Amino acid sequence: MEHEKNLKLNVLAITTFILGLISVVSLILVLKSKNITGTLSMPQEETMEEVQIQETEETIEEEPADPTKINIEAEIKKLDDLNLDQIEENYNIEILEQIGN
Amino acid sequence: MKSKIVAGTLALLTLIPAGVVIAQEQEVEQTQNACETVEEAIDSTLTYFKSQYLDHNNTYQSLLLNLSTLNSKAEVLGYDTEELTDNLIELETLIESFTENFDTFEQQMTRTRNLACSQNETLYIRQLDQAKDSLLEVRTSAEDISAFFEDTVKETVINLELIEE
Repeated sequence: MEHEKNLKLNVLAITTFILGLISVVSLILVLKSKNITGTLSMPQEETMEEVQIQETEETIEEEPADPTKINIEAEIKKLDDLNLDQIEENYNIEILEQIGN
Repeated sequence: MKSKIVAGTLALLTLIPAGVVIAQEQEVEQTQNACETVEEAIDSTLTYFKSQYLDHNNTYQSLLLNLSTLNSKAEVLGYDTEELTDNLIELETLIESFTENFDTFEQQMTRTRNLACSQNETLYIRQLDQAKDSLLEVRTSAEDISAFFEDTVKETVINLELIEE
């Protein structure tokens, strides 16, 4: 009886080990194949286009501003970056309600 | 036997006032602890709002500085800056109002703190309500500044034009 029980446990342990091994190997294979496909599916032309777009954007940013005129967009952005509209949210009356309780 | 019962009853009766005194002392101690907790809560709330206020006031000063610099630059380059100059004056007034409202709120909070242990709950609640009202005023003045910036100042900057000769 005891012998039979031990035998069953051994079979179970070996099966679990083999299944775990198969899972790890499959996972490694899946990861490897994904990596290879990712590299291969990247078309050369697309990469070149992206580089060109980036270069154009950089050229626009680097273009020197007219010193006799005001760059309105840049000035507005500078002011917007101060995030004035978020200030009022910080004066929350609920914090004082807690003291009253 | 009777005298023993009478003596025992008398002894028990003498313990009652002592019990009352102990209960009263416990109540006073509990009230004291509660008011100290309220004082600490008011202190930490005021510290929080004060640090917020200092940050926001710095932001408003940056806004004024940016706009003053833009105004001077535009004037030198020959732009019509009359409206922007007026906006700057109005903005300064709004920021002053924000500062004054915060000062009032700070005073109201200090008064509330002083009443936390005064045993006069009605007066304390009334004072706390006044502090709440003044915090609402602070919030309203911050809303006024951001509304004025969004609806007026930005439009003025967008519509800046060179003076034709």
